Amino acid sequence: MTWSLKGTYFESCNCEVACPCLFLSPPSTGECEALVGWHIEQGSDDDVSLDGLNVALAVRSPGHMATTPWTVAVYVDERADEAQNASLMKIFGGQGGGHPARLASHIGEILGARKVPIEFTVDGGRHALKIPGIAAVEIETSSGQGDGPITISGHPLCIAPGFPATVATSTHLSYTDHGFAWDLSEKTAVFSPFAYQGDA
Amino acid sequence: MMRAGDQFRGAEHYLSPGRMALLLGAPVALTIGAWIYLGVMIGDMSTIPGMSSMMMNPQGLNTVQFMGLFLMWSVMMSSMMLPTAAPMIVAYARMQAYDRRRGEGWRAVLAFAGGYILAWGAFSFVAAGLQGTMTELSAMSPMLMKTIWEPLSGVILVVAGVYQFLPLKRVCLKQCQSPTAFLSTRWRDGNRGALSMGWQHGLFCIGCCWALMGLLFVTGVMNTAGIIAIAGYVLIEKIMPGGKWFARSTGICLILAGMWALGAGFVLGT
Repeated sequence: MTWSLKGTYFESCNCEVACPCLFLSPPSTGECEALVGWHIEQGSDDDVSLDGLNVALAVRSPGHMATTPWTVAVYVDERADEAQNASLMKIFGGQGGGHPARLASHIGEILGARKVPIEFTVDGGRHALKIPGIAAVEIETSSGQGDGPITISGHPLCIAPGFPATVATSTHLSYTDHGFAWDLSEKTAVFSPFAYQGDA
Repeated sequence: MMRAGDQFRGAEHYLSPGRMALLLGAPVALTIGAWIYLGVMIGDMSTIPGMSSMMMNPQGLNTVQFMGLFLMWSVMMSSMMLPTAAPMIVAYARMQAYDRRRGEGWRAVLAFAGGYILAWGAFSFVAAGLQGTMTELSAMSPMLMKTIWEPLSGVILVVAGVYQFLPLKRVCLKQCQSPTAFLSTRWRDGNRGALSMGWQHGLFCIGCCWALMGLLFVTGVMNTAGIIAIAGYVLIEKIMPGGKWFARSTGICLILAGMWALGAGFVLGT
């Protein structure tokens, strides 16, 4: 089985900038509420093409992210056909090995998986994700020295290893589903390219 | 709509007790095996190759006797340290649990435990050499397997106590204490990667505990009470929050005990 995914991802959470969880510190408010989105630019799983599809996860950890199991809700692009859907579920569910399997090992409970329209837009440093009726997120790059980007690399809790993460701030993060209602702004966010592949 | 949920399951599915038992079966069997073998050796020292002849005639250590010491130390280190490595091995097993398709999860977990044992095997090689040398030099009793020379006990105690304060100890202890930090920053794929990670974890453990293991020379290498006390201490130091304070307090006690032994040694002339 060989699969690989390349694209761009971002996460928008409830911690203050920059998220302490990345460094395995406790979350700012003691718990983590995060929305993570991936846009697959180039992807394949054996002979199934995954180009252009989007995946999003709503993650909640009631305590320290390294030691408390996460509660997760899954959203898969409704444009995915059955084979693509199965591949994405397998990979992001951790069954395909690779880095997603390591991330998935933190998951304690799945609240559900939905096939929904996911609109993922990137405009320079501005990243936005919209799932009608469920989520609306928008983040903007934070300004660093010389008005350049601020980056974090080598962080232990990393969604996209191998790429420095650019630090951003959320314009807004609203999420309503599975009994959660998040409504945040001016909190931490990061984005970067990502590349995952199945362990050979 | 719920079809999307079929293949995406969380911990309650992949980390079922049955699955975890399968993944952890081999390291658990190794640990219990080591305990049993250690018990046999303590119960009857002649089961250790070369041990009877070494006890009779400590001068002139031969290869068989050295191999016997090496075996003894390896089994003892495995018995004592595998339980302390349990949090790390379990965390690694949880990550393997998700890799259902290849089904080689249990082999990787065994390889991880194996790498860990190999590291302590290397330590055992050195410890056996030290014991053999000290016995030959009559600094150590071949019967009780402990130092006969009080100042030497004192030095070992002081070294162990001082080490509790050193930065290297702190760094190694930190690496041992957070499985997530270790696994996210030092991950290597596959069975060979597992072996390598287990070995690395073992090296950190040695970095943390080598001086405490030296205390076995003071209590008597195969002394059951000493073995349990030291292993128990290492485990508590690892899992207790606020470990730095705890490690330093123990360090002070060891230094005081060491100074007492040194003093007593010079006063009593032993």
